[in-house]
Amino acid sequence: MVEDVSRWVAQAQGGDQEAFGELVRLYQARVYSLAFGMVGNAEDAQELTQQTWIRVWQKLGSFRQDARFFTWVYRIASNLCLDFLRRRARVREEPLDETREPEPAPGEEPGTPPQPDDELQRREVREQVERAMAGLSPEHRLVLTLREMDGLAYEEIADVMKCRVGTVMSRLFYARRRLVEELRKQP
Amino acid sequence: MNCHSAQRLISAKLDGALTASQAATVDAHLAGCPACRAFQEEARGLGAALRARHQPAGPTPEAAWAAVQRELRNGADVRTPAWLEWLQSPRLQWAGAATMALALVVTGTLVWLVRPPMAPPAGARPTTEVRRLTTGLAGASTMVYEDQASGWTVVWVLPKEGKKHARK
Repeated sequence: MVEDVSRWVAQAQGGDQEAFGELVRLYQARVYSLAFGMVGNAEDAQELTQQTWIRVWQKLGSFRQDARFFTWVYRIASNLCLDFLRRRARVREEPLDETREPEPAPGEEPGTPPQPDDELQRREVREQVERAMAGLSPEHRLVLTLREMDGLAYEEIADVMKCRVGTVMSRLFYARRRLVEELRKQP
Repeated sequence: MNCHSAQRLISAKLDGALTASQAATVDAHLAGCPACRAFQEEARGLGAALRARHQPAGPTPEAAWAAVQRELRNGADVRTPAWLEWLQSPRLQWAGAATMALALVVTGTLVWLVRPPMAPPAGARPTTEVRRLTTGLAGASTMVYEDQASGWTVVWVLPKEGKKHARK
């Protein structure tokens, strides 16, 4: 697989769009998951994922094969998500997404009629987590998404965020503490 | 160890990033600290809570690639040359700014060193020299000003609290 990725990258750098398509197919779900973890809604996540791939294609000339391709892609996706969240925070004075309805679960229409208690409870928990995440800074969201949702190692996160491993450890601590505080505030 | 330091280590412990001795230190703190035990429990649950956020399925890989291809056909297929990427890299931009700052400092220093000696204005009298000044004000500072036009020499005495006294 690693050899395939290196070959596809080299071919894509030479202008081969089919090889680039292989890379998109391989990492699409992970990039989308990162974007969703950051922005919290499907439409924006999809748009940011697409922007990421366009940006990756345009910048492929500067990618050096000694770096890990997927962390390089993640860095581009992360920067686009951070820019998006900062722009949105400037547009809205209030905390991010506080009023937005959470995405409906599969098979669940918006404004769903009464559900069984456990499902209702799960939905409430999800909504609490969404609201708590919305209270975090974009950088804290990013580090938590990379670690807790994507399971990246400290070194990989440092590579994506272009910082030291010690900084990753510190950011994770503050992000967790902030998220715990935000969750405690939830009704 | 205070709670702040302990919670930093608890966060790292959740990621398996502590040495055995660090973990033992944290455990010793946890044994006697209910607040940090509560933080540990809550922080431990965050991963599961975040993963439980409902994530709607995104486009399939094929659909995603088809959308990217459409964008590329519609004018996004413009590649930034590697040399331009290199020139635009933040590291290089910082280096450029530092070089510019250094060049300004060097130029400023050279201009200062080779400047012509300043001649006294025509008709200027020797400047007043104050050898000793008694103000009777503890901590006061002084400033001497000589006005060539009027011939006045003004000595400003600024007491510590900022009150000014002027004398001829």
